[in-house]
Amino acid sequence: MTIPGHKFVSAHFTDNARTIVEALWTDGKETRTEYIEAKEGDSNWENLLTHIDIDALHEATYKYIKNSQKAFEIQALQIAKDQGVLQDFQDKNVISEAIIKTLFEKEEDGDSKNTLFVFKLKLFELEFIKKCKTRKLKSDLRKAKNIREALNVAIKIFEESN
Amino acid sequence: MAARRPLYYDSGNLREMSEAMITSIQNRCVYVYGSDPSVTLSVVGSSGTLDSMSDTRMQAGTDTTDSTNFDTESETPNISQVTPIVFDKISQVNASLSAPTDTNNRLYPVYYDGSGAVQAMTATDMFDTFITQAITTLVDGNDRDGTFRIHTATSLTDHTLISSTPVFTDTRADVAAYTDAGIPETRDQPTTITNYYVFRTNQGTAPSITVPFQVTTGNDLQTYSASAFDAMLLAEMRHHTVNTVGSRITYSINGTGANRGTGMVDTRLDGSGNYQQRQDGPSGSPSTVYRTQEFPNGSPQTINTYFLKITRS
Repeated sequence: MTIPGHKFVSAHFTDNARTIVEALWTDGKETRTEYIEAKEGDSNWENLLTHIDIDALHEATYKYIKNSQKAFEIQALQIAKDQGVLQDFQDKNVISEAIIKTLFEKEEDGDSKNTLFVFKLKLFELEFIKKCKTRKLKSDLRKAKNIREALNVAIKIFEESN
Repeated sequence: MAARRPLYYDSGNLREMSEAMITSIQNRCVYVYGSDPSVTLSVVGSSGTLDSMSDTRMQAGTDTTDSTNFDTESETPNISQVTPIVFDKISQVNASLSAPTDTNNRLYPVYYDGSGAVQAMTATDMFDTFITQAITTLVDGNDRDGTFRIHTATSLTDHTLISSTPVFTDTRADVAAYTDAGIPETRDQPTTITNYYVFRTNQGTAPSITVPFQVTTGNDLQTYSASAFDAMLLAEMRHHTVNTVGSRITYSINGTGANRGTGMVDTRLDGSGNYQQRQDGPSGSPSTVYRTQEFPNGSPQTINTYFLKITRS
């Protein structure tokens, strides 16, 4: 049984047992949802099969699930970004903000020591710092009390190496 | 079982109706029933006669506060299901009717008995010839005149909305309404996914029929007037659909019979909770409050599907 005045749009199963189908119909203005029992003899089901065959219905279901998962992942990422849990480091504005925050915002005691330690380790992995022959600069880098000082020394080493 | 072949007037002759003519009258029974159905559905505030339906959804967990640090996810209360919202709004109403009175056996069409006599059909003949087939058609799950169905909008071509009050509403937690900045968030923040309404299928186009003979009070044969024949058919249909065991039209929620319109689905988000934090005040200050709360999340899953069903019982 078609919804009077509506045309078929799409359909997919909604449950693992494949007993219920969500069919979408449109009257040209709005799309309506109809839930149909996939049961032989059911007039809605029999009508649906005149619009989409069973193989196409299974394929549409597979695609729907894939798209839903993808949509959910995108939504989760967006929420995480909106709430500052996740940053997009392909965005240069985000990188700029992160640099400024790292360099100039007041640091918490417990966090800063660990962050500074990791930051120095990463700097010492850079080739131009590894090759630096100026012992004082390397010593200053080791002794730097915060990220600003460490970065300042690293820049001096970089400029000296070029 | 005593299905008859009624007689009709054909250019000065009495003729038995063909199968096609009888089928047309069966369809006419469906049509006339649509003008005044004896079994109707109404939308009530509560305690409908059909089974109730439940809408479920998730809500945020209770928020936590701490003066020294954030409670961990395991310390923060989980999201939970709200108490199901019960929809018990559909009532079936059966007209109170008696069997039509067949005074002097003249109410029904006449037939040839095969032994040289023409006689009027009995009420049983009438039922076996026209009514039972018409009732089968009414309950086949298609949009039949005077039957009821579910739809997801407040208008539908060839149908009449019974009430603008939905008989079922599927809701889910509104994920976008919950933010960390809003902690403590109101635990239950729903959004409506779909409303479901009851419609009656309107009376359609009258099937053309050949009107049979009946016996007059003067014991002559005469073709019924069209209106008298329709009125007789309607009275039969109304009577049998509420009184005759095995032919009474019965609606139900997820009972037996054919589905009428869309199923009504209860959906719910399937996530295990979205743990969030909010710091109220500067770090280290004794007045600072560390808040956490878990919000509903996940993908919508169908929890239950309810069908309005129609059958004869």
